Amino acid sequence: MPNGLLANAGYLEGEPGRPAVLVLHGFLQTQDFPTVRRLADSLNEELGYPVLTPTLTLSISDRRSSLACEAVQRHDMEEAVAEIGAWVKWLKERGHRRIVLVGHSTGSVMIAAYLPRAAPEVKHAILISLTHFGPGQAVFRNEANGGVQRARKIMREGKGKELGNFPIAYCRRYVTTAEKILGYYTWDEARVLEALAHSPVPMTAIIGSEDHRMGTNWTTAIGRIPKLEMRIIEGADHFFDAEHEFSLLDAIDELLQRVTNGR
Amino acid sequence: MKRSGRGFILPLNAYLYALAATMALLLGLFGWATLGEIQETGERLDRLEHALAREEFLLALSDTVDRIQGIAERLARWDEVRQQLQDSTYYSYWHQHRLRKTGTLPGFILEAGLYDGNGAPLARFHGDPLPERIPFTPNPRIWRSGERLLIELSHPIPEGPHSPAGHVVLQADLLEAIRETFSFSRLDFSAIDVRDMPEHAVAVETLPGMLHLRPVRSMARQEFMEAVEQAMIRLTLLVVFLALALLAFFSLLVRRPLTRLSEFVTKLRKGELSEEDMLHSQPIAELEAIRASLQDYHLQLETARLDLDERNRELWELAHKDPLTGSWNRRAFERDWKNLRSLLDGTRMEIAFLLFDCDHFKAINDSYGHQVGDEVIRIIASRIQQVLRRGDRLYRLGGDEFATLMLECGRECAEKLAERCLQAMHEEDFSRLGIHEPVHLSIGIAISDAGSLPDLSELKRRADTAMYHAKRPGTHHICFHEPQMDEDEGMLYSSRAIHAVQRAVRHGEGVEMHYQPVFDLHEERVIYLEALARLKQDGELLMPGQFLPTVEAHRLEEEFDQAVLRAVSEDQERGRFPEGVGLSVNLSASGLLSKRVMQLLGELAGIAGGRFLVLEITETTLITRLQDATRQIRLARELGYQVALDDFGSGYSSLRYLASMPVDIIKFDISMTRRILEGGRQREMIEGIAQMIGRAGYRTVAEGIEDEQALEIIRRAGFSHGQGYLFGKPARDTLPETTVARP
Repeated sequence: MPNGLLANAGYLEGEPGRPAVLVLHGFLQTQDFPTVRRLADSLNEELGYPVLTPTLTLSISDRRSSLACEAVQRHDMEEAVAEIGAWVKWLKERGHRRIVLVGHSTGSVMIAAYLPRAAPEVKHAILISLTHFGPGQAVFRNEANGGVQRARKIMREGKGKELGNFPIAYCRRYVTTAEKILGYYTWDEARVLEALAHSPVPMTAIIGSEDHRMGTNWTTAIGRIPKLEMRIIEGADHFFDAEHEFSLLDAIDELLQRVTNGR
Repeated sequence: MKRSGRGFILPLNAYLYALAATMALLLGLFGWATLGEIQETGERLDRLEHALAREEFLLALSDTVDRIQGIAERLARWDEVRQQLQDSTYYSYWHQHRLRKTGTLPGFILEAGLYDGNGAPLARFHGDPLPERIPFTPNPRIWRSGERLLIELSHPIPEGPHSPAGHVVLQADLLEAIRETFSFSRLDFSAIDVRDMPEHAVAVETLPGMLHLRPVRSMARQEFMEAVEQAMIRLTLLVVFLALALLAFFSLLVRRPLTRLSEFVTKLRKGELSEEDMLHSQPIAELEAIRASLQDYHLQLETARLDLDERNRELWELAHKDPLTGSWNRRAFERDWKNLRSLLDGTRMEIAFLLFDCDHFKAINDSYGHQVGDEVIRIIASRIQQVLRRGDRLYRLGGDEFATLMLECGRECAEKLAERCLQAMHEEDFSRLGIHEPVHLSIGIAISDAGSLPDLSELKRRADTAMYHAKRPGTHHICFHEPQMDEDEGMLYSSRAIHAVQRAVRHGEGVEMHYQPVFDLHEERVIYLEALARLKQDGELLMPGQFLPTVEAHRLEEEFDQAVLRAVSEDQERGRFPEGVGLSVNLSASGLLSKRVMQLLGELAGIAGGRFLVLEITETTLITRLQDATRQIRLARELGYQVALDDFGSGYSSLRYLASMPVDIIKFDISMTRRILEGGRQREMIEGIAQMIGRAGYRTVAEGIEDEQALEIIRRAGFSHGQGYLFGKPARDTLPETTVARP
């Protein structure tokens, strides 16, 4: 990886002529996170797509398990975006000329952050349960807001490299430095939308009708992005469990067929 | 204890006690063995439980160490650990907040730490118990810390492609870890005491050998052992109860009845049975039957015994009493003598042995018949018994021979008693039996000191000797044994007499005939010479009293008579007898019956040249063999001999008997002559007898005429002949005497 660490990823060979699909996990997870894993396996086994499921290192070489909120977090958004680029490059090096990026939750945020600098082989981006790290986050809104302020205060105090507890995403006590947490906090609603707006790659956002984490405003805001197709899966929540898994897969299959067919 | 041919016989109680002792011993042994078995089983179970507990502990220890190893291994694979090895900037925070406080590690992990590839800790904290450096040996290692047993191990973290190598070190409370890891069923984990463990580190493998492990006493085992013990107690009580019951049963139903039966039998045997014993029943039917049978048997036996006693008494009396007279017999005499000798051994007491004999009883028997003879014997026994002292026993030794033994009776006492016997006999009227002749007893008496009692045979011999003298013609009918008699008696068996008699009878040597004249009172001349035998031996002349007993004892009368006849014939041939003088020879009964003697008599008659010949035969000779003697006398008469009855009046002297005898001359015994000479009624009676016999045609000879006065009396008494010293002593040379008509 660009950070010099060893990163793990799963790669499933697909049928020739099919676009490669890179499926990225959510916050602190690994490629084995259920939503990601089921999706990747189905795409490959049922639909024949070559699938790459990287695990972000989160600054830990050869990381194989999800990281607890309370673990010492030393990673940031830049590192993640760099690793996405590395994996796209890896796919390209394996001869894939059509690459579709699929992210789940904060993985979608990281893909969104990557898209402005995406390689030409990246033909489409599918953002499932897209979110952001700013205060607008439904669950930890208040805390995140406070966290940003506190992090900034710490930074002002020159203690940016000291560990502290900050709320982020689903973590109430996320242990990291103010410097690192602010790297995530800056990817708030506005910055994500901005990145999407500048994306050269067609995008599809798939949101579960029952995913209430980010609120309807967020969905509405996404829907306004010009190159972004919005799809709502009725009844699904943030993780597309149970039967919604199939709906999700059908939707993605349709999008991939489109890419396959060059449309 | 008694010993029989089949071994020792013990009383029933001994068997009972032996049974009780044996049962007690067996019970003891059984109990001891069973207790031993239970104890051994308990010990086996203990050993097994200890082994299982130890095995369980080993398993638990192994599992626990594996578990801690697993924890270390998991930590080594943990991303955050690798993160710390990559960059240990926030290691202290991470160690404190992630490693120790997030529940990552179980509670028994007391300490955990990361070490870099060189063995240095990523960080050292104040009071950090973990080692300053690794590696350490043994790994894992244990030691005691206070009440805890600590285990410490390090696990390597392999180097990754982009991560350095390192180590995880864990320190844990081992017993707590074991407790959390393992659930014990056989080991009493709470009883583990670590105080014996050393405080320095040792290998974990040594732990089982250092701890005292106590197994859990399983409820099942405890219940089993308690059940066994209770069962054992119940069994023991049951067995003891049964044993006591058996003993009581044995005692009540076997020993006591048998003991009572035994006592019954013992009393039965000793004759101590009481009325109660007879009625006392046994509790056991069979034993009661035995007791009843024994009782019946006892009664039968008692009856039989009484019957037998009666029969024995009868038999004893038959065996010891004379059925004719009721007096004791010879067997009783010999038994009493034997008892007497043993009783009086060593005491000083005079004992008189009196031997009674009826004179001429044979003649009485033959003359008047056996019934009269038996009656005479009964009268004799009765008379003697009347005279005897109370307690003195009369024995019939055989025929007409009686005897008695009188203790504390000396010569005077014996003589008085003997006289009274004779007197009693004299006063007895035998005429009622048809016996007109006097019946006399002869009594031989031997006096001996009880302290020096001779053999019965010797005493009897002495009395016999005395009797022999008492029966001699002319002697008193009572005669005491004198030592002088033994000298004569000794001749019976003296070698000199035997030698002389044998020479006489075998070779005719030593026989020297002496002759005494018999004087015819009417013709005033010697009518014949009585030949009297003497035996010469070693230059000495033996008189008839010295050798005749030997002749009679050796039954040599016939041979001796032959020797005498040869000697007389020889004297005849040598012309030793004057002309016109007759010759008489004495013959024994055997000699009279002997053919050879008769031949010699014929030969003597042949050479006698018509000489007057006389055979002198005693009453006894005639009486004992009357018929045979009569036949022989007839033969002798045919040969020319007249027959003289010798010693008439010394014995039986029955006139009735005399009448039946084929005799010509009656020679009155010298005792008759003395009675005549004494005068009185006896003279008159004897004179009457002599005259009566003379009138009957017999020649009468009076013996013992020693002087003229006697000759005159005899002559007046009517005797036709006389013999005695007045007319001549027996002498070898007869001629001068015989030629003298009168002295």
